[in-house]
Amino acid sequence: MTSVHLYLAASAALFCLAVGALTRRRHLVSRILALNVCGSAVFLLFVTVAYRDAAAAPDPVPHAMVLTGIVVAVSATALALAVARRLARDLGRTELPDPHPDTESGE
Amino acid sequence: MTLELLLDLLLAAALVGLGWRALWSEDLFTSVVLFIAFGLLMAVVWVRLAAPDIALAEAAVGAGITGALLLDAARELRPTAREARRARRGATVVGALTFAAVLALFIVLAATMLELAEQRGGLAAAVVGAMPDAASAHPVTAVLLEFRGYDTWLETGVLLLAALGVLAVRGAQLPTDVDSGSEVVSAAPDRMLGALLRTLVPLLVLCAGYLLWLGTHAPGGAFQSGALLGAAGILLAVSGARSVTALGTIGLRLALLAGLVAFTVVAAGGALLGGSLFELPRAAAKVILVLVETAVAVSVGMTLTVLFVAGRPGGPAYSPVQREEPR
Repeated sequence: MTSVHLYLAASAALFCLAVGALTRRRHLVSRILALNVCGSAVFLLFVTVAYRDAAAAPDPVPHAMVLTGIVVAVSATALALAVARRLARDLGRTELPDPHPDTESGE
Repeated sequence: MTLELLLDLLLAAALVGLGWRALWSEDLFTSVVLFIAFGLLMAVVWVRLAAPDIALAEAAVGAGITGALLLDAARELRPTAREARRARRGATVVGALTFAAVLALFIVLAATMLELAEQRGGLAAAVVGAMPDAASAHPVTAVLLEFRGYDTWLETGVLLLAALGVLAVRGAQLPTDVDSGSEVVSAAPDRMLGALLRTLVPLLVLCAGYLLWLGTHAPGGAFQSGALLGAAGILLAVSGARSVTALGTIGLRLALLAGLVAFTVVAAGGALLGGSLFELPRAAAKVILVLVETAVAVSVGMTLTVLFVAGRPGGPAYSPVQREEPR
């Protein structure tokens, strides 16, 4: 087991935790946060794959892609949060409407 | 087990632990704060993985600016009592099924990734071979601006789109409107914060300029520099300083457009001067790239500030029907 295996496993774990949170959490900001963690997990995968051992220089192309990805992720997060806030202001709710209002807690 | 492996084990475990608590905390504020901590730890992991450029960007943008955006939204969108009650409901059939599906996903992903660990292809050799042709001495900057210039060009377009989207959703004019109802300028200026900012903002601008110059031959560059400028802009906005609105509508629009326009001019210029898109004359390439990077940094800084400021409520922005009491 090397460091690469550790970080790859961490990437998979984070992605799965985030996908679970994306489906189970109801609050919009929680979901947007989950999407961000998904993105971070994918970035971790990219950079780990780009990593050679401590001696050789890493592959710079995935680094450039991750850099682009971080900036795009913050833009998308900002837009998503702005839409969520507008939704909250117009509808007075911070979750998406429940498609099956008869089941579970019923509302 | 060597010390380095132990360190990586601790980092990876802490990362997953922080991520788990950030995602699954009941309290939204706790979630966001843990997410910021997660981002900062991620920056340390980037350094471990020999990616200092990404570490700079992650600390500034991923943890800092995303954290600021989430904190601001969490403050405004606190869950209602009913929503908090629903979130606390216990195990359900759907919950168990989701858990099983996610577990299956994890097994599949982990198996695939461990296989990935063995294959070491990649473009490292190709980049090393092409570096003598590049104007930048730093490989990542060369890839960003020269070898993959298309991606960075369109990325500036994406930033502009996001800024326009946030402004459109806000339904107002650009946040330079000095409205009496605008939360941005009517916040009472905090004297302590103001004193801090008088030192901090010039330092941030100086560091941004330094990072911009550094990017030509070392980790740094336009996006990290722009992130620092964005942080300065957000700090000014949060402290209620008038300088955020002093720029005026024209200045704001110019700043938002600068990066995309500069890039497009360079791309088109390359094509017009008798080559393909983005083909720069060898002699002037370094100067042109520094100019483009400056324009991109200014744009990124202004875009990040607008993304933060315009997402907040304030001003007589929407139709009068919505003027109700906040929860």
